[in-house]
Amino acid sequence: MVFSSLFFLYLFLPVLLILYFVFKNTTYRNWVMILFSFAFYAWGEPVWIVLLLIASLIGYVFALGIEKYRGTWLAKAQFVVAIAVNIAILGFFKYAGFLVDNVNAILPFDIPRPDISLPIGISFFTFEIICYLTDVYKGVIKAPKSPKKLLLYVSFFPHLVAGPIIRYSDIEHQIDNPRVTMAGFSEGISRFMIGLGKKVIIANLLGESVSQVLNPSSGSASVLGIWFGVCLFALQIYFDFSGYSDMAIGLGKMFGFNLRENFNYPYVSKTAGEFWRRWNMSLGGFFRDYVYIPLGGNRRYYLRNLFVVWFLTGFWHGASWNFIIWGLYFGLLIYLERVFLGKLLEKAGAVVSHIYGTLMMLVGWVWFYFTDLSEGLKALAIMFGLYDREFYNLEFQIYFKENLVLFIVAIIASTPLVKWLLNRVADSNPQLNVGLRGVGIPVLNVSILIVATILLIGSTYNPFLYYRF
Amino acid sequence: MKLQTKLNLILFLVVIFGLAIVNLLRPHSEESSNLEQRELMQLPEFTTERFFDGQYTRDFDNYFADNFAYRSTLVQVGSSMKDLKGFPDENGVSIIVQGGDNMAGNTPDEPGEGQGEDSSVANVNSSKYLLLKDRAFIAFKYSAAAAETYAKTLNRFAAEVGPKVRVYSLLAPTSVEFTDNKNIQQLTESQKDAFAKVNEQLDPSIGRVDAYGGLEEHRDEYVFFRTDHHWSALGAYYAYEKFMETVGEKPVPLSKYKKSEIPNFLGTAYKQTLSDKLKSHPDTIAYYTPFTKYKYTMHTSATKSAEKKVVDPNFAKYSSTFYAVFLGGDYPWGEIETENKNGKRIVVIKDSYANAFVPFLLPHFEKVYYLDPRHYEGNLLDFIQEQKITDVLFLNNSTVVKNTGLSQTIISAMDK
Repeated sequence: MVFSSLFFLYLFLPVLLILYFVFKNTTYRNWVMILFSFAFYAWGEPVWIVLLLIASLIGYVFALGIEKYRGTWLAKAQFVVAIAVNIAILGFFKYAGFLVDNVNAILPFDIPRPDISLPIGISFFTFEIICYLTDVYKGVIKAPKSPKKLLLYVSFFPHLVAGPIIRYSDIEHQIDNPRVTMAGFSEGISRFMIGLGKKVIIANLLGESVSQVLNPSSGSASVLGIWFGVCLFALQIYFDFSGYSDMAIGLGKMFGFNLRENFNYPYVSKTAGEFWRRWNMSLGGFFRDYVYIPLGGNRRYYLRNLFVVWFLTGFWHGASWNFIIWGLYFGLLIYLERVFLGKLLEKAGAVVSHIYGTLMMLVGWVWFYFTDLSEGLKALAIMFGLYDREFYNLEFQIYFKENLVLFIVAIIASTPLVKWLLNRVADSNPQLNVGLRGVGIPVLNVSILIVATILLIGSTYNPFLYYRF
Repeated sequence: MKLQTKLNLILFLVVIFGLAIVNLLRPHSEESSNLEQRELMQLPEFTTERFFDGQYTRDFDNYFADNFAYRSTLVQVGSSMKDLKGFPDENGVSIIVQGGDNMAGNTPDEPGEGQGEDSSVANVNSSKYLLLKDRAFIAFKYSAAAAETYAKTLNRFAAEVGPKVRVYSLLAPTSVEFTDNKNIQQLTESQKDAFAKVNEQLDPSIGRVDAYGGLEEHRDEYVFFRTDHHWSALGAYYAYEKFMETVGEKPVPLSKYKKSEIPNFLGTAYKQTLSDKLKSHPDTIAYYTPFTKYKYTMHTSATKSAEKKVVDPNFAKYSSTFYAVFLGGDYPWGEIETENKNGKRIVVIKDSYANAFVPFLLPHFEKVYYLDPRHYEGNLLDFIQEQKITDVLFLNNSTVVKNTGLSQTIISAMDK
């Protein structure tokens, strides 16, 4: 199930709200939440709910074992085994097909390709269980005696299928003492609506043109057309993914949970390093804290650590070479920035840095968008004038004009400009600010909900880009 | 801040719960959507098996979306809202791609069309509409592989049926070919060249019908609909004249037919694009009632059949598409027995373009069959033998040179 669907908004959520708030007791509420979270998962993936349960159970049992034998070799052994099992689950379901394809390309005979469909959210919940086990092993958190707490941590539906990747310590306290307040619920609504608007109004509408414009093999591809297509895709994926995170965070707030932030205006970045501190922050944080630093970070084997992390970051996004290249591309940029490019950019000033930041981000999305590498290379060749295509043509003009308003709105909305303006208003005119926030925001929220509902009805079904990751 | 919290909560809960309740209590009366030309999803039946393979939840999602309160109205509101995302080109040309993002379970109205392995991801199952003011066109894109496959398919068919059966090929151009608008011309490719490529590769024994020439001569007349992807009965008549030329018979003059009209026809292109400009200027459908006495049996499936009229304005009332006036719509096959006793039996192997065309054949044949390979379940070659066919006409629109989908269905109908 996805949040931006009629079924979620007008059946799942109302029923959940009633059943959740009918109970005053936190334990009952937590069980309602677990039940609904499993229903949420089962709705899209009825079979693999077993996998979710098994992975959680392994996390639960082994964490208790680690606690029990702390200080002995048994703790370490259990930790290693539990992590290995989780990685094996992820590896089997996500990467087996890819691996067999590549091995078959080398071998003279063919190994049969396992026909497994990727269980929804597997990349997210296995990582969360790895976080949990590691934190228990390091003694950062105490493994709970009750399986309920771990189940709720792993299955809590707002973050279950597409993140943010939360840590047990983020919500440990909130599980027992959720602070469900009117003000918090209202904040949650506002945050959810921002996300819903980002996804349904901006990302979906941008998406309608992307596949048309960003098609280097089409006879009507032009230099400007491909650039425009990449820009549209960059905006689409940002609004899609950050919209999903906003909805998740908003839903968490409604039920008294604070999930960690996942995006911080990534497109204002001046360097690749900055981009990754602003884009999918919970994933970046995972790789930093659970891979990069344990490997030795900056101090030992820096180069190896850097490229291992970026290889994994890319590969995590999909079992395909283009994602690996995409990850290593950022690894290389971050390395170059550290060695000399960063200083150079600093001297060159903010404008040049922003141009560099935007260009490296757009080129990155080309790698990301085309799972077929030859298509991606063709697109890059067209963009930089290395392929015989017109500079611009009628088709580009038509698409550009047809999307112009949306394009400009999306660019502005991807920067902190509106937030900055509102803060300026608040500082200079407190009364206007009270009025704006008191009436403006609720009216804006309900307008977003209505427009999004109409567009959802119009488009029927539209899955998230990150849904299958 | 108190006010904001309350107002925010109340507005949110009122909409969420209000719509949820309206949606639950409202009777689900509609069974099909006229606009989309398909059945609406009905409440799926729960079985554990269907649940575990994910079918139940998918169906339920579609059921919920399909039967949402005020859906048909809101779909059109949503479509108009989308126009706000930019400005139309000053020449009035816009591009709308439909069908790429269909919900699961949606059957396209014309299976086979728009399918093909040679189209890129974006184009599979989708049509690219070019809108010019109140007129919609489907952009044409030539595929050499599709042309070759189609020619080879017909050649193989001709070889299989042998020299006793005459085989003809009629390729119907679509409306986009005959526009004078320079911008539209830039956004589409030549069907004339594409047809020439097919004709080059066809076996010399196969009769080539120059429908293209017939339509080009009359390009300024009402030979294509503006809101529908088909040709009009008038367009089909000019193609029929060319067919008679190839066969070597005299065509019946159009004046011999009684002409009638049905106004306010909004066709497939409107339904796909929901363009307000098309809606405000609907088509008029003209039909010519045959004078030949006949008996038309429409075979709706392998076991079911019904007796119908080949041209019947009532179909426009019952069916969601007015084009069903001709032959009643797209069915696996049909048999029209006429009063003629000349021993000539023709089968038209066709897509929906032939529907407006077939009624003009009645004065010339003892039996006129049509067979739609997209829906026919039996073997094509057996059919030719069993029905003692003397003439075969392949009548398809330019989609067959755009992708290999229809050729594949013809091939598999020979292999069955």
